[in-house]
This record gives sequence, C-alpha cells and structure tokens, in this order.
Amino acid sequence: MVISIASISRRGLLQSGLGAGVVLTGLPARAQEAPKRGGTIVASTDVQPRSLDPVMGNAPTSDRYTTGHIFDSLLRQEEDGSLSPWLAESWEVTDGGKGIVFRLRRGVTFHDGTPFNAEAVKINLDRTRDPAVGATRAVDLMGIESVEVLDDHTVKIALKEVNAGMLAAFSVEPGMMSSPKALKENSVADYGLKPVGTGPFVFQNWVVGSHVELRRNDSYWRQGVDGKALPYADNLRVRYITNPAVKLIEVKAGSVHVADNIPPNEYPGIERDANLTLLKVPPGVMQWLAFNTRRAPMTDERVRRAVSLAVDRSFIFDLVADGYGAVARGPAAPSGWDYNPEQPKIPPHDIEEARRLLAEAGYGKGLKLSMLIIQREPDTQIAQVIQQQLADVGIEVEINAPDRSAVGAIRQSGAWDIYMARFNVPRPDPVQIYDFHYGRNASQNFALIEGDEDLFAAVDAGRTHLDRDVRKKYYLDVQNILVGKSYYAFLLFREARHVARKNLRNLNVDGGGVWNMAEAWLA
Amino acid sequence: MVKIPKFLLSRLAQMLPVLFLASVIVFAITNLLPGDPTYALLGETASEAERAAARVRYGLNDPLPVQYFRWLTTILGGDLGRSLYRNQYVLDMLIGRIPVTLQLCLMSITLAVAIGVPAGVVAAKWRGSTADIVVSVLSMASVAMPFFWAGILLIIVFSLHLGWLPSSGYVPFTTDPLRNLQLMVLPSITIGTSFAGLIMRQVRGAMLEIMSFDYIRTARAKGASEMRVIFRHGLRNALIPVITVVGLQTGALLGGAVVVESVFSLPGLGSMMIESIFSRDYPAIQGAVLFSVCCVLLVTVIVDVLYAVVDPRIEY
Repeated sequence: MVISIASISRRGLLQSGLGAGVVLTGLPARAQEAPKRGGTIVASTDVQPRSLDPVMGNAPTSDRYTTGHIFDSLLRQEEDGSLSPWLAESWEVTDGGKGIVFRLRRGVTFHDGTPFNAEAVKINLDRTRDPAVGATRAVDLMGIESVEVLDDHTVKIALKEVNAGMLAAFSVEPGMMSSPKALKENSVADYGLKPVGTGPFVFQNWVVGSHVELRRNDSYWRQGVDGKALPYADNLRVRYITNPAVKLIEVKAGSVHVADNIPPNEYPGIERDANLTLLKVPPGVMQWLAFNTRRAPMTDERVRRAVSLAVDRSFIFDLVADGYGAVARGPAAPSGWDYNPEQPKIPPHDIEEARRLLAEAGYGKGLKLSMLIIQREPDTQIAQVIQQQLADVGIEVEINAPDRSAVGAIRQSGAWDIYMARFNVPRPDPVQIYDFHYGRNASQNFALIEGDEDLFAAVDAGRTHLDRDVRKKYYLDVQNILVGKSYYAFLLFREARHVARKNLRNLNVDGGGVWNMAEAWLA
Repeated sequence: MVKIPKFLLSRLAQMLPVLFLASVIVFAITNLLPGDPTYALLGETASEAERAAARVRYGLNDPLPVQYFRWLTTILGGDLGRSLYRNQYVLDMLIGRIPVTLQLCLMSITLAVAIGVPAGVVAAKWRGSTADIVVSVLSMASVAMPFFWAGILLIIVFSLHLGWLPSSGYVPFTTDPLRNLQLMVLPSITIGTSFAGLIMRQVRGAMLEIMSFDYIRTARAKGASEMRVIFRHGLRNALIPVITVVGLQTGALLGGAVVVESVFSLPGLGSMMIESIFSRDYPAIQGAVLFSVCCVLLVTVIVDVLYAVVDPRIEY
C-alpha cells in the first residue's frame, strides 16, 4: 500500500487562524513589499550550541537558531505544524508505514561544491546512527532499519516498525544534511567547528562565547520574489546574549534585530515601542510536577492527588505567565494537535478534599516532602509558591534547588518526592513527548512509572498508528491516565515571544519557532 | 639592578610548589562539585546506558587519584587536556579567551590608576574640603556598587539613551581596533571605577600620613615647589601601599571579570569559567582556574619588582 502525503497539518482546524499569512510553501518566498537586498542581520539567541554539527548538539530546537541558517533539512515543518518539501521534493510512506521514500531536489550543492544527492543522505543518516560517532541525535533515528539509495535522487528508508513520529524527525536536526566531503575530511570534533551545509548562509567563523558569523550563500537553491537567489541579506550574525536586560537594550538600541526568550513582564513595554514588535512562536513552555511513584508516601495515589489539589494553578499562571498561555490540562500545548479543549479536567484547587485525602491516607497530622527543582527562573519562584500552598494542607515542603548539571544525579538517586521541571511543546511530533516521558522504555520517565500496561499500550498505539484522528484518541487516553492517577501535576503552559525590530521585514518562523532568515530583509 | 634577575629566578622557583598545591586543590574542588558532565554533554534525552558509556569514554569512573595523575601528566606534557563539553583543546580555548580578559584587566587597571591616584592626591591635599568630600563619596559609591548593576546602568545611559557606545559584544582588536576599543570601554569603566575607589582611598590615607612627615617640611623649607613636594616627595613614597593594594586585587579583578564578561557578552576567561562550571567540564574548569592562579602568582612577583623600582632603598 502506498499512502501519498502532500502535507500533514499538526494542529488541524483548531488553530488554523494562527499561522495565516506566514505559511510558505517553499518556492518562491512571499513578501508584501519589494524586498531590499544587502546588509547584515543580527540575531540573538540564548543557547549557544555545544557543536555546530547539527546531530552533535545537546539542545534540540534551540541549536537550530544557529545551525538552521547553515543547514537545510529534508523536510520543513511549517509554523502551523504541517510538513512541506524542502531538500526532499516529495515523499511517500510505503510498506504499510514501515518505509519512507524521499525524492530529492536536483541541482543543490553544499557550500564546498559537493553535490547533494541520495548518497549524501545515506552517508548523513548512517553516520548519525553509527555508535562510534556518538551523535546525540542518534536517539531520533533509532527506528531506522536501513537506508538504501534507489537512484541518484531517490532514497528509501526502512523502519523497524511503524513510527508515526519518524517523518517529523527529518524536518529537524537529524534531517539536516552535511557535506559528505567535509564529514570525511574532518574528525567529529573538528567538524563541529566548521560546518558545511546547503543552507542560505555559509559559515565564516565562531567566536565561542560571543557569536557566529555567516555569509550569504550565493548559489542557494531558493529564489526570492525578485527572481534572484535568496537570501536577501549579505550577512547574518548570531549572537549569544543571555542577560535578558542586555538583550532587550540591544534590540532597543537597534544593534540586534531579533532576540528570543523575552520575559513576559517585558511584553507590554515592547508593544508600546513604535520600533519593536512581539513575535509569537509556536513552541511554549509546559511546567509540571512529577511525583516519585516508587517512594513512600508518593506511592499512595491519594497523597499525589492531595498535592495536585492543593496547588492553585491559576494563581501560579497569573504570577509567572502574565496571561500569555493557559493553565495546563495535560502535557499537550493548546497549540498542539494532541490537545483536547475538554479533557483531561484541570484538577480544581480544593483544600478540603486535599486534607480529607491526606487524612484518609494516614497523614492527617501533617507530612514532610522534598521537592527537587533546577535553579532557574521562574522555577524557583513557582516552587516557593507551591511550598506556601502545600503548607495550607499541612504538607511541609523542603526545596532542593541545585544547578542543572547537579540535578540529574540526584534525580537518578530517587531521593526526592516531587520533581518540578518543564519541557518545550509542541515538538515536531508528540512521539517525542509521549514516548520519551511516558513510554515503556522512556529515558525521561521522571515519575518513575512502572508496570502501567494501560498507559504504555496507549503510548505505543499513538506511535504505531498513522492516522491523526486515531493517534489523537490514544494521546488523550495517555493524558487522562497521567492526570487521573496523579503521576504528574501539570501546572501551566507559557507562550513564548520573541522581540524583533520593525525594520526587519518578512521574518517568518518554522514549527520550532526558528527564524527563516533567507527571506527576511532589512528596510 | 643586577641582583633582580637572580631574585626573580628564586621567586619563580618558589611558584612551583604553590602551583602543585593549587593543582591538587583545583582538581579536588572541581570533582567535589555535585553533578555529572553527561547531562550537559548528551542533553536530557539520553538514556542511562548512553550516560554510562560516556562516563567510561571520558574516564570519569576511574578513581580520583588516577584521574588526577592523568591530568597532571597531561599538564607536564605541556597540554591541558581536551574539553569534555566543547571537545576542543583547553589550551586552544584559553588562547582564544585570554586576550579578551587581559585587555579588560589592563584597561580597567589603567583607568583605575588614572582616576584613583589624582583623586586621592586631591583629597589628601585639600583634606576636609568640598573636593575631598565629593571624591570620598564617589569612591565609596563606586566600591559599593555591584558589577552587574553598574554594568547595566552604564549600558542604559551610554548605549540606550546617549547612543555613544555599543552596549555589548566583542570584536578582536586585530580585526577592527576602533570597534574593539568602543566595545571594551564600558566593561573597563565598570571594573575600573570600582578599583579607582579603592586606590583613591589608599592614596589619600598614605598621602595624609606622609605629608605630615619631617622630610616634607624640610623639602618645603628648601623652597621646593608644592608640585614637586607632592609628587616627588609625597606621592612616590605613598605608592608602596598603593602597589600592594593593586597587586592584591588581581584575584578580585579576575573575579570581577567573570561577572562583567557575562553582562557585556565578552568571550573571555570569566565567561569560559561560567560555561565550564555549569556544564561540569572538568578539564576546562581546571585549566582556566590554574591559569588564573598563575596570573595571581606572577603579579605578586611583579609587585615585588615594582617595590624596588619605586623605592631604591628596597634591594633583593
């Protein structure tokens, strides 16, 4: 059976209004006014990649704010979540979902002149999966059985099992194509310092700790509305300014054109500034509590439920999100296709019921719990509020807030009752949330769930069915179990905003919120 | 003057045991930090098996003494090992970062001396005057202001409102000297004014004491001009404690660079230390700290030499 897929909409009709006007279909770029060529665009992003080799990074999505300009991926995930052709002109899902055939774009060359073809795709995918290379993104390609070159511009990928999340992986880091020549000539470590892709900008230099300099790729395969090759800008500088105050000052002063991760309390000021604009991007931050289901007293569902009921989610949402986002139902972002506006029910803030459950579980006289968090904002702020709220039902919370690198080992030791953290949603595909966190072999099984066959079966079904409506149903089951059994308490979803100067025109983003700088231009 | 090189040699030789001790302490503290480099290396999504494999690959499971001696052997081989996080040679990373911090420190110290010494002299000469009070209040304020706050304040005033200087970022001096200096001005002022306050107080105190000595009265009685009395007879003798203070502050200066570099997005030693500590990049932390220790030790030697230059009575 051959299923032809032209375009998959991730969020369906629910959010269809949001991406209006910015959806692009590859060729040619759309712009309202005649674009101006030239100039240097300066962007600032929080996360400096560990390596510029796209498959060696440790921060999926964030890394693409740098690597996304140097590399093209096989597919592109649009802002509305749908997939469209990119380096692959079309694709087919074959063998009942266990095969993907990519037909590749012709006439594309890497920055070093090497032609892009089926062999290059095979070399890239095989390299990422090679354990000797130690690629961090190998985890995204684990479902691949083999990669076969059918002809110079056709490549077939055989999967170990039906995996509905696989296609989306080719629109992000694992689908980014490096020059086979550059890969061959450099060690893994060295290639991360001098990447060679097919993207709109060519790597120039990287002052580690400061910025990456990129120059226009004169022979880029995409064309602008003026009929000439993109990108419009001559140069792109990606800076790494982590201090939010400095970042905003740079944008206000005009020395940076666009910056990510702006704190919500700055939104009103930006909206008042005639030179600035707030840019809404698809992914936001989901904040949650995981309960240690293998350690008493959190083994008792009543205690977990009591904690969940004692937390006043609306209060926390107003405090840290300033109204941008929503109180959480489950792990799904309101902008994700796995979101259901009715279910799961948001646990009410019910102190009486929480007290009753605690008394029933034998903790009527009070209880002491430890909460592990990563030292960062707004996590510390939220933790302190929760500490207060739980005190109202007689739970004394001790907060342990080490830095990120120290949290992992403590979490692994299991010596905690509540772990508070967050993840970015939506992902390229929900598989990356559900399988990674709640599946039977989840590497990030933070609530240490074991033996819940109903849950695991629903997660598996979500991955192995291709039909979007069927998957939606299974993912709703997963969410209902997570909330119903109080493995987790989902708190809130914070929308993310970037700030851009108004003279940076035609800036659109992909499904991960990554800027498409090829089509942006300076007025 | 012929004796100084011999003194230098002995002082440099004395540095070796100190450096050895420092290497033990640096290694111990780095490895005592709770945490695991594999989280920064592989990200959150890696499985426990992948983490275990990485720990074996980087030798993190070996007993600490074994790891220490492996590191020591690497250092003695003229190398500082390879960064876990960035996969680059630590020495190469340092070579890229040192010019930034060195320039920042030199510009800051120059500024601090240029402001602090004259201000201290003025305050001492006209003790109790309005000038003295103004200088003293300003110096107290500059010492009390935290770097991260003073830095942001300078950016808001000079970059955002006046538009005179760029607010943050870095361009190497060799690429664009003018742009480089423009970018380094605000960070240098942030550190420099704070140290100027310290120097000013030191100069003022020393000058007040010295200007009451008999030989100052003698110099005046001989008919020496007031300028000559102040600078030739007064200030030169007051410089010894000032040099001591400046020397002792080298460590504090490097500490200040850590904060200031992160405010101004400068890719120096300080921001390298922050990144390596957060990612538990042991070889990089150790390399950067050991280098800082070397700097502090070298400055103490330089201070000793300067004593002899300023005060001919001091001989080694």
